Amino acid sequence: MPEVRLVNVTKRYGRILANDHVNLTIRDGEYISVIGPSGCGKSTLIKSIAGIIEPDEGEIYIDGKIVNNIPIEDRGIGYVFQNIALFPHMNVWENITYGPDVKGFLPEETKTIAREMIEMIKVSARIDAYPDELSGGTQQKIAVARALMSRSSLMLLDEPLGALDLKVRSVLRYELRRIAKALGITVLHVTHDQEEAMSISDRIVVMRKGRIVESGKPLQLYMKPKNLFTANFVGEANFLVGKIEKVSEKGLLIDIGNGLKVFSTESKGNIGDRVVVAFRPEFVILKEKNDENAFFGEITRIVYSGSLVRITVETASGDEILIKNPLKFGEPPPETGEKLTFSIPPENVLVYPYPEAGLHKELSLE
Amino acid sequence: MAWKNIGINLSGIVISCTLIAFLIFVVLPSFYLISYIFLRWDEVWYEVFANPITGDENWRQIIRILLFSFKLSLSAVAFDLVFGVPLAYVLARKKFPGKNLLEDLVTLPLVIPTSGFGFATLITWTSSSGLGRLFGSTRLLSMNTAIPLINVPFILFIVHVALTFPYLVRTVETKIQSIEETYEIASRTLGASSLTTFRKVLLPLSIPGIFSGSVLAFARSLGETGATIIVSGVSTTASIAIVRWASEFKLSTAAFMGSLLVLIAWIMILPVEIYVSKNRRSSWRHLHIPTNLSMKIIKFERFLSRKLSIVKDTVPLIIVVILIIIPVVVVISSVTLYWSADPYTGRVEGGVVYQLFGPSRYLDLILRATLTSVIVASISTYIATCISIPLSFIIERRRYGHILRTMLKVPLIIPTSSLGLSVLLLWGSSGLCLVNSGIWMIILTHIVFSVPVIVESIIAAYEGSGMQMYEETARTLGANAYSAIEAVSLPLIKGGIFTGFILSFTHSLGETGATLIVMGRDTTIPVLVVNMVEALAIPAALFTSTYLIVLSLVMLVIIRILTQR
Amino acid sequence: MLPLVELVNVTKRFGKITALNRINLSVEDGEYLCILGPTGAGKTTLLRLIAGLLEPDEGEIYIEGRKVNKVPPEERNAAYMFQNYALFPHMNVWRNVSFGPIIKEWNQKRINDVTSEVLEMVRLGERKNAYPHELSGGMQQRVALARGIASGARILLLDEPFGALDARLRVNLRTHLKSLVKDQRLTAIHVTHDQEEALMVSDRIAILREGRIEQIGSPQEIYTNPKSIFTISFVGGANFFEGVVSRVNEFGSEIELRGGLRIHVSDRSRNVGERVVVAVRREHISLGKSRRRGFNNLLGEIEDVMFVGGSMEYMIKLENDMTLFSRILLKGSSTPLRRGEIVIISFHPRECRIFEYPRRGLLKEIEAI
Repeated sequence: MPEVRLVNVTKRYGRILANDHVNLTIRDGEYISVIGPSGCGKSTLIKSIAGIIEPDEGEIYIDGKIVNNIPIEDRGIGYVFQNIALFPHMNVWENITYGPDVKGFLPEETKTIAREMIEMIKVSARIDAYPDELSGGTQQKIAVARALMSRSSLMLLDEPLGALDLKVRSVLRYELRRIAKALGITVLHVTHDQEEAMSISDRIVVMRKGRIVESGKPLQLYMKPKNLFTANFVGEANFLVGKIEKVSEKGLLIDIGNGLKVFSTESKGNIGDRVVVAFRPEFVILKEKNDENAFFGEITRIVYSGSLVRITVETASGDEILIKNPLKFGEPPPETGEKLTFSIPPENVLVYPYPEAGLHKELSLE
Repeated sequence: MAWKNIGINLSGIVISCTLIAFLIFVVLPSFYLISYIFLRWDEVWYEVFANPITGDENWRQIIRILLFSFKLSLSAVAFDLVFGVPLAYVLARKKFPGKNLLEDLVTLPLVIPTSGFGFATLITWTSSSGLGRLFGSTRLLSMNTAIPLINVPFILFIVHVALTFPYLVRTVETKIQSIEETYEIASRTLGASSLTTFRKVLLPLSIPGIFSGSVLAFARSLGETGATIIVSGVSTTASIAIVRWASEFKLSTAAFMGSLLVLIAWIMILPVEIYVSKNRRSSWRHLHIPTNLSMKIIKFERFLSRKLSIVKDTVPLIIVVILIIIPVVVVISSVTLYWSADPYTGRVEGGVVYQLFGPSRYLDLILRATLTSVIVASISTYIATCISIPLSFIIERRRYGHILRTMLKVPLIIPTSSLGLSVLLLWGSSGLCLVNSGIWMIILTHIVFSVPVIVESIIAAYEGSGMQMYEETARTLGANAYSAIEAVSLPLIKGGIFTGFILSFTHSLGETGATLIVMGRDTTIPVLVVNMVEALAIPAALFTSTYLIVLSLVMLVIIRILTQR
Repeated sequence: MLPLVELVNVTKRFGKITALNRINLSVEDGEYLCILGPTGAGKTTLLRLIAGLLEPDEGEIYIEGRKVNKVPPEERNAAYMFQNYALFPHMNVWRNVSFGPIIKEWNQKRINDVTSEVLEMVRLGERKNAYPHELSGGMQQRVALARGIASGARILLLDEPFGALDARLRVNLRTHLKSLVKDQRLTAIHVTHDQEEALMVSDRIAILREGRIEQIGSPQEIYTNPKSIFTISFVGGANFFEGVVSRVNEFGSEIELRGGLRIHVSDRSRNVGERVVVAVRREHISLGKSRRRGFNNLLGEIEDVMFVGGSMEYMIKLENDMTLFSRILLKGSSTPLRRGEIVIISFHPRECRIFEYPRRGLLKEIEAI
């Protein structure tokens, strides 16, 4: 039985369509992330499932039952907030046991579950401490524990790590997944950080301007995004405009101007179509000899990012290409002004129809 | 921009001047009464405790009257709490059409002329042209009809409730607004019904506001004079006693009662301020409810939440309607009823027109009083604003600011009659002999309670504007402290300045209690109402009250428009 | 050459808490310096001290060669940018940006020229009449930058300039910010808790921890030569092996780990018997089916496979029950390994950094929550 199902969920604020006929099914036990730029409607969506917001149209089903008119407290969900929301006038223990208390659990039972939960979440704080004495990361862990105490099988996380330091985020996100999987619960995790989503989700849903743009497994979205926006949002990419010159069973040959041609293993498209070619900076290979899809250019910028080098190359046609390469120990690093030859494996070249709204608009992250 | 050059010393001068003005115009009058008692202890002792004619009768009277006042005020505040807290919740959290109107209605008693309002309420409930009309021209109640059990006159009670209600509601509303709604949502996602959420989450967090609001309401009730004078009938409250004794020249007794009231106000406010400013985690340390009972309560709350959500929203609304709207409507309709003649006896002398334009020529009095009122309101509000703007900045920026803020609460809560008496004794012939009773003394009195109102309004705008950040940015972009204030801070709080000005102006127009004591031969409109009632020129009083109330309403609308921008 | 900004033994307290403790820092003219550290380290306090919004309790601050401890903010030539930009809500874009020039009483022509020029630089010329609340987050940030530059300040003080923006947007805007600063030949002091950001934009990074500077250096230096466990963990992350030095010779040291496993490191600075922590970065751990000559080789089982920003990250359990992470950049044709597979993990002795075992315990040092 699918855990959550949204059918044509729509929500308007004045003239703005926050959610535009959204259809989504989340299976029991799945860890799903919903990502998208600010204002895409992901927050509205998760709040609608919780009952904090009522949709204007459409139905929401939790475990097969329609919940549209059921108040928040009766939906049986756990919710974690971006600003943590631990009750400031209650200590850690009281916060954690709040759910069972207001649901009428027997005190003995509550105590047992609470101790188990603290053990499992590895909360290091004293149970008589108050929220304002604790660090952000610890507070959020306790908030998660509190939400889990009601034993609900659906957890809604609304930018749960948004208020925390990068370092804390990168550690805590794995904890979220570990706990979810250990307890076998279904999770809907909303975030603007695609890296966070990619590292812990079973499936990712990409939203933009109120609609679901694409959904799929993380690796899938990264390797073969189905549209331009996803390609740009989930990781970085280089984009070149061109026209399809030849179509064969092996793939497409695209003319990107100035006599340069790119070969892609993609098959959809007709000769003469105006297209956008995309490839990820990590897949570019620096090589000496001429390969398929070889480019020349001059290095205009080098940025070191820890273990990676980000090389920006300007080609003869004036395009700027970004290349990401691991730093090899012992090898002399490249320098600005150097001439570089590089190529892209055809299976990493993605092809998309040229967008009606124009390339710049389609790739806009705001 | 030329400020840059004189920069350094200007700051010191402005601050010193403001603080001196504050001391002279606001603090001194507020506390003078107490020092008067000490300076003239012998006189006081003689008149109050060891009077050759009456013994300590005056003292006994003081005690009796104080106890009655306490009883009245406590019951008014209790009523306020029961209906005011849910209303504050609704105003703070919910959105619905007409919410602005409701907010304004709740604010109305803060600015409405107390004598006019007292009169309107009296007419509504006791005369045959009020609500009694609906039941066939009977008088519903008399002035002295008491509420059983507590033995407090009904009319007096509802007037005090109406006038203190806004203090409680607004304070609690502001407090609730400052609490993130996320806590309540979190509670509900954890399975708590909205009533349980209110009890376990919102209430504990808003206790400081409830406490603060209750104390403010209690003090307001203790000090209420204008309306009380009209509706008190045979009962005497502490504040009216002061007016009576002052007019009988029993100055020492009046001063003694006044000081007691000031002292009580202080004793109440100080601990509350300290408690509230500490901002500690709420002291609502779980009343330990045994688990069985707790579970039953929670079940009950869940049941109630489902059934009663509409009810709990509307009941406070109904209260507001009864207490405030009805008297206003009644008084306005009564004016039309009485316009040409007394509707019951047909006597032309009982009509508004006759009284205004006939032999007694009340119209002249009204016009003269209007002039006086407007002059007083304009000058006092203007001076108060000039003091308030720099004072607000000092309060926000200096470490001793919160002490100043606490001192500012005092003029708001001490009885207006006390205040009037204090000013009279300080500046008048018994004190410094600088000013005579009359228009200038009225102005001095009005400044005292205008400054706190304007300061609170400016501070509210200041704290909501994120000003510190903008100023700091401006400074690092090259602006010195004055340019920063001029270009960035003042524009951000100008709404607060306007609102404060208008609130204060309107309040000054309708102020009765203090004015009664210091007015000498000059009359303001609200005092005129009192005079007319005493002269039994009811239709004229009706007209004047209406006139005043309409004026206040117009002012409120102006504020509403200004703050929408 | 005199540094543009210099802090000498600067200390700042708030009540009983010492926010900054004897900070010594110098910033060269035209330098882009990042102050990197966790929340609460004192980064914002440091920035506010330089701006003149706070006064130090001890020590001196010098700007352009003169002592500025008592000098008010408007005379320091250092524009401060808040995380939420603090655009004056009652002024439109044009008036916000021209605020500095107007306050400084430049002539009208100069004000207009500078304001237009700067707005063009941030590509917001067309929005000059818009009010802040009508603009997106990224646009507001650009206006705030323009405002700081237009004011003629030599130093830009940026407090988490990307903190309020979406993660993906930040990546794009970083390079623009750096170019803008360099093109205008300004000096920037940029506070952040995002180590990737600091690595990408700065000329030098100062790592701030609990009120003290842990290390200062170029991004590469900090990354390849971290001087403490905190730094290597905070910037880039690493695997940590706890062990005891069992042997030292001319080639390096041998460290005995839990369960009797032994590894070799090139570092010879420790003595036999010392308790140490060996750190190896995730990207220096390679996985394969055979042993590599000259490398440390350990047997392990893949427990989890994660996809992290263009790389595959493998969680591996070693024979002695230790858990390791290996990060391998995803290259077009490679197929990821699978859970349950047995692999040989290899890392070179040169890529191991050795540290003294911390007194407060390892967990505290790497600030695990």
